[in-house]
Amino acid sequence: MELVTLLATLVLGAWWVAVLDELALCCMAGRALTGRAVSRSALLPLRRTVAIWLQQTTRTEAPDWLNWRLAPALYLGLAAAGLALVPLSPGRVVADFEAGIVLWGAIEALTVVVVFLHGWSSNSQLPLMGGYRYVAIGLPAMLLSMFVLIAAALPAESLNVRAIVESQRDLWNVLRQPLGLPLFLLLGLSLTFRGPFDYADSTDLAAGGSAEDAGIVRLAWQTARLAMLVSFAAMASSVFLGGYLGPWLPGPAWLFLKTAAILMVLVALGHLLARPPSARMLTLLWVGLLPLSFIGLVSAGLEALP
Amino acid sequence: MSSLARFAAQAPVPLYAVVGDGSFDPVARLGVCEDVRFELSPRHASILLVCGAFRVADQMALKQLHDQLPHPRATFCWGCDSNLPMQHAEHLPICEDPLPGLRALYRALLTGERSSDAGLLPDQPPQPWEGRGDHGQGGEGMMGGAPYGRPMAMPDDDLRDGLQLDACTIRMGPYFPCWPPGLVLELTLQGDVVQQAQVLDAPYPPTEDAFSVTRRLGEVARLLFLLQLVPQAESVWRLACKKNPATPADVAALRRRLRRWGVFAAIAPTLGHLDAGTAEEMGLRCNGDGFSSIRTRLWQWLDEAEATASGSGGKPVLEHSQGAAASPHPIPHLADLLVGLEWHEARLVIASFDAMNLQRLASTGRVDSRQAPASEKGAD
Repeated sequence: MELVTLLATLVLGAWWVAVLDELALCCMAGRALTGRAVSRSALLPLRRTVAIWLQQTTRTEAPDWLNWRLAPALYLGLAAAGLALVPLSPGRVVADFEAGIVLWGAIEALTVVVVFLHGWSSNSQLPLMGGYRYVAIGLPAMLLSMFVLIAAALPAESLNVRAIVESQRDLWNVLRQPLGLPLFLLLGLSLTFRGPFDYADSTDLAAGGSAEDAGIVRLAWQTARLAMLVSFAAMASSVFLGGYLGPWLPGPAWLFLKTAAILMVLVALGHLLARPPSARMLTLLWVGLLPLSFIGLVSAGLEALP
Repeated sequence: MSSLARFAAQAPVPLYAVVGDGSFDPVARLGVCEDVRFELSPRHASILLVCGAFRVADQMALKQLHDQLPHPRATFCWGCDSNLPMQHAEHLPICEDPLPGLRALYRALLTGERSSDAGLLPDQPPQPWEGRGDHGQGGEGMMGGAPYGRPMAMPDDDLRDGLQLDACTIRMGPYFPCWPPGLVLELTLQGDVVQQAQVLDAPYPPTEDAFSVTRRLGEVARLLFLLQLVPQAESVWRLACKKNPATPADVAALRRRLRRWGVFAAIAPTLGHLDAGTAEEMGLRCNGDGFSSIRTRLWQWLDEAEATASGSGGKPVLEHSQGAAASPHPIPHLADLLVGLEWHEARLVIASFDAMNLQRLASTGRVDSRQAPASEKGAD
């Protein structure tokens, strides 16, 4: 049952993000946001899915064909593994690991590997450049996440995600550690290379890592990107917004509502901020955001002292 | 399958636009339409939209682009000469609305009512690969250079920190999203850092309306697009293309939004540096520190758009001198401005010049940025 819920969450969540993206495009591009536009946005991801499905899957000269196909599958698998760590209610979680947060960290690290593999395997210059750039930005962005997640685990005195949720019965981590969620959201943009963190599949590289993707390979990669965002949002809502905790409604309903809200924030952030050149972003990460996340960790450590 | 195809055909038509000489405005107007979607890569498109006039030398690039579209694919020529290499393309005069034709063509492609375009070039490598080993990785001449016509990455000194990194020489242009149409660069990159640059072909010459509000706002939109602000770029294009011309209030509001989106914060203050003499020669404004940069050029475009919109002459705030001065200050070559920059920075620098200035920067001869022939570094 949990497994079915997990898969349904990934699929429905991916559709929800695609609809949010279309609506954000309508709002920010100055198009009229009418009822027709909303219903059009709801159907558009499905229409585009079929259209891409009907396209030929092209190939380049001498690609690493195995890894080119494997990369979307791995990325989707990592998204599913991440979501499996998120508890739906006190007794319902697909993978209840004692060191769940550490496993999530491994998923982040493997995402960097998979995105590079995707860029590299098509044997083409622009995708390779996207892969290089993603590694340069993805690594420090991942360090951000390590600090904020360790800080979130301190009040729970456990690395288990369910225990971290339970530790928020009195006060959500978003209030206890105000730096944590904003910094963690930046990691979400980096994991799915959106907006200011889109260094892999970006406009200046003519879609970068995805520039050579067509047909089913492209569909799988784009779906995996959306699924990873869903997985990330579910983890963020569990670690910082109390996950399934909440009055009146059943636990899973609270989790879905909070995940949907985080997704809306992520989609908005992805469309609202400019992406600086990578050297400037690296400076911001190493000189600004990483020290900030370390301050958050020290503060959480002092608060957790008996 | 047919009902699925009809369902999919109602999505915006995925186009890859090839913008030729003098076709900026019609393509920009089409780009803000909800029924089409300009794709970043030809691999993502179903229809190749070809618009404007093209040099004979660019026909091979057109053929290569055409063949990169996945099947089912078609070509739609809008306001083009009839001597283009696409034999089965749909043709439409520039004065007619292409939307109905594009929509019908997309539907016919998906439902199979129209056959997919055959390739224009043979689907085989220009030279056979003769490498040995399980993956063809070994054999003669495989250490750098261009074995069998393919540029191969090879360690070379890095400009910035002296590290030995793989250098690879590639060719960019003449058609690329938000790229000056016609411009062809040969770049030697290490990672995404430009080590050498050479201009192989200058962009198409600017049109007469190079200083119009539409064109100025179009240039702002191009920068936004490269900063990953895609919906915002569309909103600026929409402002540029709307029936009632943009007002000074529109431009002032845009200026505030650019700050809110972090556009100025994202661009380093000194990126695209030009000294005061060069800036004056090119009709560019300098900042308080006495140099011109991408930020100052963006600000100048907004000022010029605002001045033109307010009816104060319809000309730029600063006139382009176009080399008319008695002792003109030398203008650097475009290639020299790009060396040492990351690819993203290089694209921002290119996009920060209007068509007139870019033409001047790119037309001072085919000079290698390090004064060394590309062939010495193993270029193609």
